[in-house]
Amino acid sequence: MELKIDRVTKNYGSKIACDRLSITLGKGVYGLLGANGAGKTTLMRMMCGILNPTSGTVSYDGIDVSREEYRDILGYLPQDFGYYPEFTAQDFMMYIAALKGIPKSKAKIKTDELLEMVSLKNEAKKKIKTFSGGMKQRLGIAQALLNDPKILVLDEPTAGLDPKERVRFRNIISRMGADRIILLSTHIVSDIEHIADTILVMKNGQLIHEGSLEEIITVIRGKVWECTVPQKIADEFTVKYPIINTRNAGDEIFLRLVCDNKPCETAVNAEATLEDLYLYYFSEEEKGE
Amino acid sequence: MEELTKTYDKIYRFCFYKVRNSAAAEDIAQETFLKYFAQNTKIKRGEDMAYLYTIAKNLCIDYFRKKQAEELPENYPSEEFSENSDTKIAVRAALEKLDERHKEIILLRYLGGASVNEAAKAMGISRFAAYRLERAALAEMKYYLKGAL
Amino acid sequence: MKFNIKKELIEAFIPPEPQNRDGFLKSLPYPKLTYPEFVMSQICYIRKRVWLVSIIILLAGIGTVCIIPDSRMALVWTISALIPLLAVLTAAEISRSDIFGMSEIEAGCRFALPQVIGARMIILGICNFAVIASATVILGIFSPFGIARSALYILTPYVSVNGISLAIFGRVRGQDGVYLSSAAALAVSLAGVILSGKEFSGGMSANFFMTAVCAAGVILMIVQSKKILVGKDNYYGIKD
Repeated sequence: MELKIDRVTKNYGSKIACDRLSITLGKGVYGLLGANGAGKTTLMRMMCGILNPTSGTVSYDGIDVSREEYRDILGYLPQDFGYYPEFTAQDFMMYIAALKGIPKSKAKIKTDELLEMVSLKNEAKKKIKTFSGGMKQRLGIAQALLNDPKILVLDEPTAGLDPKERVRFRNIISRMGADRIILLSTHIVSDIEHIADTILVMKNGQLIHEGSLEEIITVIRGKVWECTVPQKIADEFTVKYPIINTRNAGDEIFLRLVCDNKPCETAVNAEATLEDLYLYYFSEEEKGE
Repeated sequence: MEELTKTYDKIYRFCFYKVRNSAAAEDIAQETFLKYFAQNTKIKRGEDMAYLYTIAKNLCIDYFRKKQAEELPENYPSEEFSENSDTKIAVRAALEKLDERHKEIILLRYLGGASVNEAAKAMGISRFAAYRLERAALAEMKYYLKGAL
Repeated sequence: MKFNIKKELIEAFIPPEPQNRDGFLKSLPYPKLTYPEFVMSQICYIRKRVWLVSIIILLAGIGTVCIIPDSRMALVWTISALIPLLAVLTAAEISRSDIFGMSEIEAGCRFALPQVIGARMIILGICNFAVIASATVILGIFSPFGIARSALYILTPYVSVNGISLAIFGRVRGQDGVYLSSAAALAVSLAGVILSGKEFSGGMSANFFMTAVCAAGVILMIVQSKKILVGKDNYYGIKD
């Protein structure tokens, strides 16, 4: 069970969305972390055979991504999806089941089972039009699971879910990660921190880090500092160091920043988190948006 | 109950009669399904059950061959049917007295729950022949039972 | 009491309960639909309005012939007015995934987007062919045009509206595309009604003009259909 992404490149005109990216994924849950525009969605679409790479290949145990056999074991939740206006939740599931080649009798059972799992059983006969964002998202997750996929690709699956729904989603995913390859992207760090066995950090179309939470954080371990300094020094630090967090503390400014050495006498070393790492890498881009 | 579950039960019953062990019967029933789904894409729906019975029957024969060659581990003790009233014992005894063809049609129709059509296809005879065979088998059963009860 | 041999036979051979039936059946790899079966499954997802308009065209055609004695003009008008409607509905049906934002989910399924759209094209193609052929026969019998010219008069608005609509749906997404292509259909409808009055006396040049339009429509339709079925990357409204 091996999903192989081999030197995959995608260009849009002169813009490079994915840059000679190679990785091999085995069983488990992978969290793809990156700012908007880092190329996460492009990579996921290529893994689902929806976009053709400019060069490079994607294959699962030797089956190329463009083959029907590949799609047969694939479940995909796009970042954004619509629905036919007359559809109820059940219609939607039955329709996708047909597209996945599942015979009607089997599809009916699977639909009931999955709608129950995402707590939409009582809403099965209701039009999707009337659904909240979170309900629609849960339906999206359910449809991806219809064919019991070996490869599950979820683009921003937690978008629009409330805290309770997030917890339930995490439970579903960790239960499923045991015997399949799950890749999920998000820009909400805490979602990935708790479910992913392996974290992939993507920037400018390339994977800049790959490893467990522990491994990844070592990059900035011992380099996260907190201090409270006057405005003038704060301005100075902002230019010099990557700032993770800042807030007013009376007349002075509280700063959380990344620095190889102690930036000033009063600075205290802080426990590094994935959030720190994320902001360390992506603060520049987030500011730009 | 779901269609597939019913089918599973039919095949399992059919196999249990043959091998008299629930674990072995279930293994054979499951293998039957796997074999069937591995090769069935083009088989017409009406012949499905008949085909399943044929696979199951052959797997049971394999089972006995292995048993005789003592290739099987000893964890398949002989088991009995659920109830043991006088009537039931008499019915079982009567079935054993039938000749092979008669026994097979009874097995397919009443233990395996096959329709006349399915039984006919599984035995490779016409529907009419299956119907006649069943009538004769039932009459023979009644004859033996009359003596016993 | 009568001894029921059949009932006794069933009851005498009850085996012990199977132990791992449900788990096994759940994980059983079942056979998937074949493509023809899939196409059949898609018939019920074609919206009713398509069937409705098809039936209306046939009924209107027959109705006009029955009610209006010298019905030649009325028949031409009715059919010219309704055929573009069928063409635009068909195009909307084919482009439905894009209009409602389902393309991406559909593209990731076993039967991917080109196969889904292909299924719709097969179903609608057969249905539309039946309607167009019947309309041609009705017009051919009850008008002085003959079969060939009747076919031309019906096919021209159909292929041009269908081609234009497919092109519009490929470029303008969502509801706007629906309005735009409906407007195009209406324009062709009106043009058909107006022209059919003028052209009726029928010079060679008029026929030649119509044949040219028809040919252009067929080419547009084929080009657009091919684009939908093959041109993957630029067809999902993927912008990033």
